[in-house]
Amino acid sequence: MGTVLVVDDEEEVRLSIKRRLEREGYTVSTAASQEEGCNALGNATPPYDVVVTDMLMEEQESGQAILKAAVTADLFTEVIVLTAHGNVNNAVECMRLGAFDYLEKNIPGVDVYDLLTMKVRQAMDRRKQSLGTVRRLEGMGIYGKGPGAM
Amino acid sequence: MKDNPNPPLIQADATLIDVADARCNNQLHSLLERAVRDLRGKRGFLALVDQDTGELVVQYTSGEGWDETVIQRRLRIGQQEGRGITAFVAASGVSYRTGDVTRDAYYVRYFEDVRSEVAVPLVDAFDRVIGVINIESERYFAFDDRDELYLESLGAQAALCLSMADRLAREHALIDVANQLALSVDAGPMMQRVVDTASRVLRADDCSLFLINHETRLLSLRASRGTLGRNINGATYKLGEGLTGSVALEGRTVRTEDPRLDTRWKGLHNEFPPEELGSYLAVPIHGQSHVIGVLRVVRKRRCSKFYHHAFTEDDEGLLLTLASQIGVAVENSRLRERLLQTERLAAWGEMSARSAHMLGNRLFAMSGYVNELSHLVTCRPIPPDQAAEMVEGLKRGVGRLAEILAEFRDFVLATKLARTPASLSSVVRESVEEGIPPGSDVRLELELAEDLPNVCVDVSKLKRCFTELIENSISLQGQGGSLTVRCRRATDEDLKAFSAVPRSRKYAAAEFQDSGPGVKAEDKTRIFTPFFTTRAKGMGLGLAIVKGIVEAHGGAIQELGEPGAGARFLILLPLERDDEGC
Repeated sequence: MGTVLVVDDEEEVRLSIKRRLEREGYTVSTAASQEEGCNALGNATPPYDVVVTDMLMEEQESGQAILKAAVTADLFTEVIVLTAHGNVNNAVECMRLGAFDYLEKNIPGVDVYDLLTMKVRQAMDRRKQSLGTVRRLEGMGIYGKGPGAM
Repeated sequence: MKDNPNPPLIQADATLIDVADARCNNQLHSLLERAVRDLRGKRGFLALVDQDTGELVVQYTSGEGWDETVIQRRLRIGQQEGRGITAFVAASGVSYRTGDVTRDAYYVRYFEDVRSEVAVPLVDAFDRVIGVINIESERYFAFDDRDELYLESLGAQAALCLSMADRLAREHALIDVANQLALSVDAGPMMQRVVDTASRVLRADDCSLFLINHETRLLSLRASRGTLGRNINGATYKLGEGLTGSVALEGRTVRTEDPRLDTRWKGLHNEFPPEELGSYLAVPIHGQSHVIGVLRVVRKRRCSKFYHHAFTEDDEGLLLTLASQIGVAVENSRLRERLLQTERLAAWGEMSARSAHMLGNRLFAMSGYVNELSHLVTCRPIPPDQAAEMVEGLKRGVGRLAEILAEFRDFVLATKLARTPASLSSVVRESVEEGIPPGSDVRLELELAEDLPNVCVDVSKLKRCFTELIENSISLQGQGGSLTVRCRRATDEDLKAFSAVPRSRKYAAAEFQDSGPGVKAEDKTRIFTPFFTTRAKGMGLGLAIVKGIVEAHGGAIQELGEPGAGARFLILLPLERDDEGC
């Protein structure tokens, strides 16, 4: 189905997201801080398919740090950034840096956990497509380890 | 009389003497003594013009025969022509000498033995008579030209001495106001102080201070001494309106002996009825770039010959200096106000951002339980254990939200006190009982001074404050550890830790010392700022609330423990209050 890393400094939040995504059949790991998250990303083989991270943990820009660690480990890992009130700017910055999407934790009238589940599925799809494209390019010798690689 | 040849005669209202320092007093005394001795007189006296009443008042006497009755009779020297040599000299400003008082038209008899008399005026730098020296002899024709000249030179010395004392008083007044300026945070009391000082030193009957209101562009009364003082903020001038308004508009001083003759005068707000109005002196108060107000002094009209009611150039200089001081103070306090406002706004901005974030996170966690619950209720059968777990999580979330709100409320209300007299020891004892959870194994020691006078405090707020410290201590120490709580009269040692606490007041001290991890040196001041927390619970407002409550009581708090060797919180609370309440 796919692997997801959830990074958030609130235990209840981590467990809630994990529980919800596991219900969909994903394999979910968690990390409780920016540092833990970066380590998990660096050590994961194979890399995670999707990362769900809180924007603000120890630092204002913890989300950016996780995003960088994720794309460093695997260019096609998709990252979804969660924001509480007041830090949409940072989330937009994450989008600019290549995050899949950002999601506000509280949206009146919306079940954000269901919305998150939908976004994770879309992120999985995009990753699958990207990897498919890469494989085709590799097959044509244009990209990566193919016969015609530079 | 011999034991005390120069008793301090008059404690009356002679302002010159009030402001003169002791040295001047002594000099005038010895000057008079010397005059009587060198002129071989029988007795003499020195009278000064009382600037408040315009009367000549005997201030110093020398020689024999002075008793209370004579002094009382000669206390106030009349002003009518032909009513005494002293009065004549004071009115004419020239010396007078007579060798036979029995044939003298001016002489008024006070002592039977007097035959000759010589009197010289004391004249100040503005050619105004400020006093008279008078020497008497029981011999006929006791004084000659040389004696009169000699006495005149002593008179000049006396006048010099008085004007020095006057200058000294002015200098002191300026220094005093400057010191006040350095100490005062609030311009209000400072303005009253300047008004008082100006009146006193310039011998004005009243003094008023007006500042331009930035919104209304009106000059409005901020301080005054007499009846006008009842109309603070109510008495206003448009810029350019009346004499005072003109000073504000044009930024130029107005000095006149009769303001009513000035075409600009309107008599809108007077310190006394217009018919009593005498001299008027108003100077602009300059801010950094423009006039921000007007300081004015006024004297009543008096029909006394000796009363110098015109303000001098010197007076103008002094008033301008005072005005520039108040200008600086007002600008400073406005800057400070603006700074505080900005800080307050920033604090509220920070506060709302933090609380939104904190509440948002809690809500999001709770949404997780709701999401799972709504999924679980569609399962057949509903898994009871999992559902119960979600409900537990929700309850926890609700509890945390309530906690955050309570903390928020306590923070906002920390400074709103309902004070009652209470025993600090009992408040501490009750806080300890409430703050230490049952079954805690922390070793508790109480050292409570029972002889402390009551403090005037908000008991429930103070308990909130003490229990916070106790709970912090216990939760940070984990198992074991010790907590010592003391209260006592604050010692010098206690006060030493607080640089900003006024030493003139008496304080009670409450101390909470534990054997926990203590506070890192770099955190010692940060722990009291809002949102500083090392624990997950609440919003990190705990110690900010404690500090808020203590400071609202007029007290102070510091953490004085050795980092790593336990925390020691010391709280000072004033023992008596100087304002209303309790």
